[in-house]
Amino acid sequence: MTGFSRRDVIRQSAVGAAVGAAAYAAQGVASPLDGPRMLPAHLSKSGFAAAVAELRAIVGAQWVFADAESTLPYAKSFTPDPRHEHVPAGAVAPSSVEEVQAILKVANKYKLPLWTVSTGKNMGYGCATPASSGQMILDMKRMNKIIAIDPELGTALVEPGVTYQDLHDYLTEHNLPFWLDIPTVGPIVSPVGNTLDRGVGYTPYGDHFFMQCGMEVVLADGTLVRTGMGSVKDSTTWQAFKWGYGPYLDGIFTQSNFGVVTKMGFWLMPKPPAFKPFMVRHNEMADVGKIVDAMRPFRMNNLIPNVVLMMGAAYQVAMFHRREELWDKPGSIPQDVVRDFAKRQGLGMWNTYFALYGTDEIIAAIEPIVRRAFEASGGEVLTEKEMGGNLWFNHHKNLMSGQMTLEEKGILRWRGGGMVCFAPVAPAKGEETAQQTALAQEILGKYNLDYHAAYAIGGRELHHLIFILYDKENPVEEKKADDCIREMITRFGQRGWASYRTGVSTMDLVARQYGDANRSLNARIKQALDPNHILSPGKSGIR
Amino acid sequence: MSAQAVHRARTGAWAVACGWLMVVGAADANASARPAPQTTAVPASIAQFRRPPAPPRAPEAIYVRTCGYCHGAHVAPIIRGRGLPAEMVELYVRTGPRGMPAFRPTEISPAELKALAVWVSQSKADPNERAPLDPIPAATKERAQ
Repeated sequence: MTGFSRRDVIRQSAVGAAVGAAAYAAQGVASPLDGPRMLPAHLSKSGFAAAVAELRAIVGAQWVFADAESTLPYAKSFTPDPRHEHVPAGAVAPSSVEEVQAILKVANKYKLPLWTVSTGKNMGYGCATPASSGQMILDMKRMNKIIAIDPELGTALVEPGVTYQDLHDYLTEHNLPFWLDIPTVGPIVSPVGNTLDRGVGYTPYGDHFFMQCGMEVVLADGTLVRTGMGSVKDSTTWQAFKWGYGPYLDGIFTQSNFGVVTKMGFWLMPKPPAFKPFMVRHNEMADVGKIVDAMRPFRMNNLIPNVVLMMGAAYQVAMFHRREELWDKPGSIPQDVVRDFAKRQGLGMWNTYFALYGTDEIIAAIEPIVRRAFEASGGEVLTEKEMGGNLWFNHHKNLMSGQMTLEEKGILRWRGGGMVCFAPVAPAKGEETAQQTALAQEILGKYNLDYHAAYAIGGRELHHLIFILYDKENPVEEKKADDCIREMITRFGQRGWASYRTGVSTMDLVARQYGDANRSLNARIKQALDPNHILSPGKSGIR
Repeated sequence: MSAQAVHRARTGAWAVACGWLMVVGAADANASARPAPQTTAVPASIAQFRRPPAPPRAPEAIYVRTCGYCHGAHVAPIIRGRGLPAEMVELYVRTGPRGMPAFRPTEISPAELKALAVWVSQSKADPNERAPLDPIPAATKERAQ
């Protein structure tokens, strides 16, 4: 099969322009201005229209989107929303800090809630859609300046609309010897957005918030704050030293709604003289514990310096294949079917990708140590020599050297374009990761869903990334996916395992697991900084 | 900055930053109050801060930097050389049907999208592109870095 299938075209023509407007159509309204559920909760139709008029005066009419058609791209999401609870009222796109300040003034005046996005491609977590219907998207994409790259210190200062692709092009054009660290959707997302949601990449600079250094934030009252050394007049160390002086503030502007970040600094990894990617292949699902125990010491002592990806077979296969190639029954795919198919692609049930960085001498010294450890765990340690040309090996080689790729988005085609990520944290202990894998499979099985998982291995913990892939065009399946992630969050929570990040539909659910004291503290900060609650209400369960 | 200085910065920093020394200290326990942060008042007239629109990018550049990462790269259907109606391309870009993301006017401007849709519609097939279920080639196409 090549190109557009007839099915794609027919399906598209049948629904026509209403594809992304399903949420509107479902409620029988033509425009957000006509539907009370699309309006901010405390704003009348005329109040909303007045606010929109003022926003247009600030940014120009073409950068305010307040009708159904122009709001369509903001309503697109892969995550389940069976009750239409995440439909934006519209969007406004500023081009400068001053415009952001003016917009916030209007929002305070009208109590207009603004859901801030950078590039709006938070793919497994709701894209640009808000935590509750009726919020206006504050779209920062037009603020897309690379403000400064310091080639001596290896630092960058960028605006929210800058993508990893923009930075990649800049580094290439100026022949600067740095590697970016990109998430799996690098070309179309921004370092600011990904870092503020505490996302990861797969080089030694993979913990993005760890590598972040300095922010500029507009508070709800319009105050402009620079964190860390950025508050010092004529500072030359804003992007060099993270902590500044006094309480460290940057953290409260991540996964939060306490301000609008308009600039962010971060560190760039100097291109290493040598780089060698590896894949360790294990053939049984039950090997998960052995792999984690073998990996832990190397991540703790940094002999393996990058964020390691331990990829489950069903996730890997879904990148480039569709479900019907493997299995034509509605129930979860049996493990032996996945294993056989994966084997034909050169893959095991778990495929662990790490890399060594440095000089040839350093790599030659470390390789035998890690090789012995993984071979003792029952894995086959493979390199370019054995795997060169393999699509998956090449993909991970690219990720671990900061190259642009969107190949993992292929998983969206597994079952009709629906995807939501459940991302509990596991300690880097074999026994508990095996328990998490078993629990995830049990719950997914109940809903006839498949276990598409990857573990991203940090120093002492793993992000267990479980992608629920479902048919979003089928309301029954959408409801099932929604039920499934709620059960997963709840039952993992009963074992003490909570998410590091979650989608817009489950933010309250996860926030409750972090307890009343935590929620109350966040609520008090919110009340102090944003008394009209205009900034992204509901983000991380904070209103 | 000279190329030599860039090289020095690179070779000096990578070992420190990538290796054992990537451990950072805790905040100063004796820290006391700091001066108030810099503030900026909301200006009376905002129009002066409007950025002029960026010049439109060529369709080929947008295709390579956005569409081509999926379409023709084993992930999404091939769209070049098929004579797809330009209106359909525009609709797909703005709505993101099924597994495709939607792209907003702030990402691809209306003028850019119009030109892109015509370009896709009229473009010739690229023999190097691969549809999702095509056989995997012996060596994966490397992207120009």
